[in-house]
Amino acid sequence: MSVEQGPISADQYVGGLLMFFYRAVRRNLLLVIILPVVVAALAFAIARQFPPVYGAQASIRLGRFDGAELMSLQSAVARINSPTFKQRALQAMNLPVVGKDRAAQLVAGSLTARSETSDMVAVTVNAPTVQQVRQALDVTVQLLNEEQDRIRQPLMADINEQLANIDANIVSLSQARDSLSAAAKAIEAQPADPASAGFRTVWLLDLASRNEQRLTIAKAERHAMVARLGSWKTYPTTLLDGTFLSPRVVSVSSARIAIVAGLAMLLACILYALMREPRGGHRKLAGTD
Amino acid sequence: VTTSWLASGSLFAALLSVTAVVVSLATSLWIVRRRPGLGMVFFFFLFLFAWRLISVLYIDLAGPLFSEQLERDIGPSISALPIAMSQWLVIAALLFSFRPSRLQELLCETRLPLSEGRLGLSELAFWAVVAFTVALWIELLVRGPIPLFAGMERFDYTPAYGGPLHVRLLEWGPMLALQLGVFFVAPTFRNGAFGRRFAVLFAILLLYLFLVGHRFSSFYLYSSFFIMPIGAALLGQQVRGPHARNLFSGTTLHIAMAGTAFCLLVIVAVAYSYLVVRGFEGAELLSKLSQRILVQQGEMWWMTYERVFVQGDWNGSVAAYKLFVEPFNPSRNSTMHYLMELGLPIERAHFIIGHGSAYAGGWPEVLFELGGPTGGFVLTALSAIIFSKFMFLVVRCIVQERFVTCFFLTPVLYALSIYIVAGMVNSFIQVTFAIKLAVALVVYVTEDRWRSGLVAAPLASSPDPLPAPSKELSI
Repeated sequence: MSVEQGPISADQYVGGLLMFFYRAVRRNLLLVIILPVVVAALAFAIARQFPPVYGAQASIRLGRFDGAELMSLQSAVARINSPTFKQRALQAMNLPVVGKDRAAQLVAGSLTARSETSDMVAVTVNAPTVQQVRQALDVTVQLLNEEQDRIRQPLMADINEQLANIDANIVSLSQARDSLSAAAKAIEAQPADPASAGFRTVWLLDLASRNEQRLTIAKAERHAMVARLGSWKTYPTTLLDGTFLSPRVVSVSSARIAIVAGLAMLLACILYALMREPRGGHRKLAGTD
Repeated sequence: VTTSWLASGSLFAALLSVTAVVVSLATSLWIVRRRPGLGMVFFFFLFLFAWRLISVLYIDLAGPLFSEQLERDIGPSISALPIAMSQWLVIAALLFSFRPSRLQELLCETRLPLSEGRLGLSELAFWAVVAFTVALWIELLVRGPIPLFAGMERFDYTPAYGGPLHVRLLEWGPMLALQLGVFFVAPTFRNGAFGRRFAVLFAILLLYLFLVGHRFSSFYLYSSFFIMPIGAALLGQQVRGPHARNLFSGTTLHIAMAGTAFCLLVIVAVAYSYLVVRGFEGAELLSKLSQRILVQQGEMWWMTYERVFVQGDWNGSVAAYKLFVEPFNPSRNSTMHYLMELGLPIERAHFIIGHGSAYAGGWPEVLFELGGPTGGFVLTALSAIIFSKFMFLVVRCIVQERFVTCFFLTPVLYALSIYIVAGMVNSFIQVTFAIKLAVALVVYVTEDRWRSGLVAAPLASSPDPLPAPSKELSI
């Protein structure tokens, strides 16, 4: 017991500590080696039974109408992340909204959106199959388009109505131009007072000129109206690079699960070995002195 | 300062904010005055808590005011109330964990009579740090311009000229400061004098930071970690009662000189940075300082308060996804990245983060973004309990001279500290953190079991837990 009351040097302290650890592990060496290996092997075998999970991240460009956004970026992100949107997505994919269907749980739990650029949303989704991943992304785009259609359709109807009016106007003006042209030819063909014919011709030419101006304006209006619906200013919400999208396995690999389980068991075994080691470090310390 | 809050009849709200802040600050002052050991251990947190509270109160009362970083008006509100309540939870958990009866138990275990041996660990540590410091200074001199003299910002110097040792210091510096503090204070556990050579090493490191363009925050961070072990020693002394040797007897002059030099260093560093490096002057200088001191510490909390408490706009699953699964930069604090993405136009947020900058704050913002207005308090309480328990463990290891465990707990302590001040939660799911935690656990159990075998009954039953004074401790 005398060594217990004498001073312990730092090298003895650290050395004794290491020796205590070494003794504890050595005394339970088989346990410390075999149990983690067995647990890792078991974990590997069990993990192999789990079906894989596929996931993908895709960029969705939000639709615009006449250059203006139909839904703000923040609104789109909030909508996709909302539970109601996920429920609609599940319904559109013919998956049960309630219950413990694995595919439904995976899609609902993983469908997440975040803003990527000023008009693009990055959407991430996981599903049990590659097809379901693609389907979930397609459905997301489809639902967004449906929501945007509520704003887009009245605007589209209004523009179409304006286009129809303009077209009717153009037809009317074209007919008027033809009539005026025919009238001018008729005056030229009829022998009459040259002065009167001249006045009537001038009058007809003035009418034809003004008709032509209105026709030109109407065509310009139509062009501008059609341009508002051009593909560079008006487009639906689309999945970018959808054909090149290749979902990959996102579930944790069996090897990784086995390593984590083995390491956790190793930690538990070492702690067990340390706890079992008798508290007799001082006796060994005496021997080192 | 506007009086919009008064004009709009929200005097009650203002009084509420003021009361919450005053209570919180008074509690912190009480800790510092009545339990200085605890104040030193938690100086890092208490100081930042107070600064953020004052900033948030300023925004509450002076708002609406323009925030340069957010490029929008913020305030007024009663945002000081929930953040003060969050801080109360932490302080309450700390006071409960460090209650006097529990501290008494710290000294029940008999210390091991450690002495200088063939291999002194303090010698080894001292010369290792000396070698590192010398190499660090050589690296500074040979690699390029010295930021202080070249008028260069620290965040420009590090990527352009910072060597491997410089980068290591920035990554591990606070933990090194803690270890220096442990070695500085360790001899006093045996009634010896402070290990002043470690204080000198620490001062040399501060001087290095001064030369490479660091200003207040680094000095504050390093110094807070350095004084933590001193606070633990002071706690031990207070527990022993009036008969215990005064830890600072005969060192008052030295402490005053060191404190004065430290304050001067900080003032010069801040003044040089603002006046020379950045070239601010006149009204612009005042504006920048008021933004830095009074607005920037509280603005991110105000944004969270506005979003979560006022608009009810929070989504825990999205926050968790952005924090843990797909952060903007997984190797850095994802909390602030997420908060910046929420509070700023996305392109601007990514531009700022991409340049290596991040705004101040993060805690308790992250907890309310995850848990909402009610769940946020529950998360705060849980994290406060874990934090206080862990801090007690660290102090216990220092006071009981379990220095091996203390060494391996340091990285965990650093991660927890960064969480409490900046809300960094993604570090907890890193593999490296799990390894650090597992190693610390194994070392703790090993040291605990081994020491319990060393402490024999005759020593344990001794009325005076302190052994006879010996020469300078070597741990």
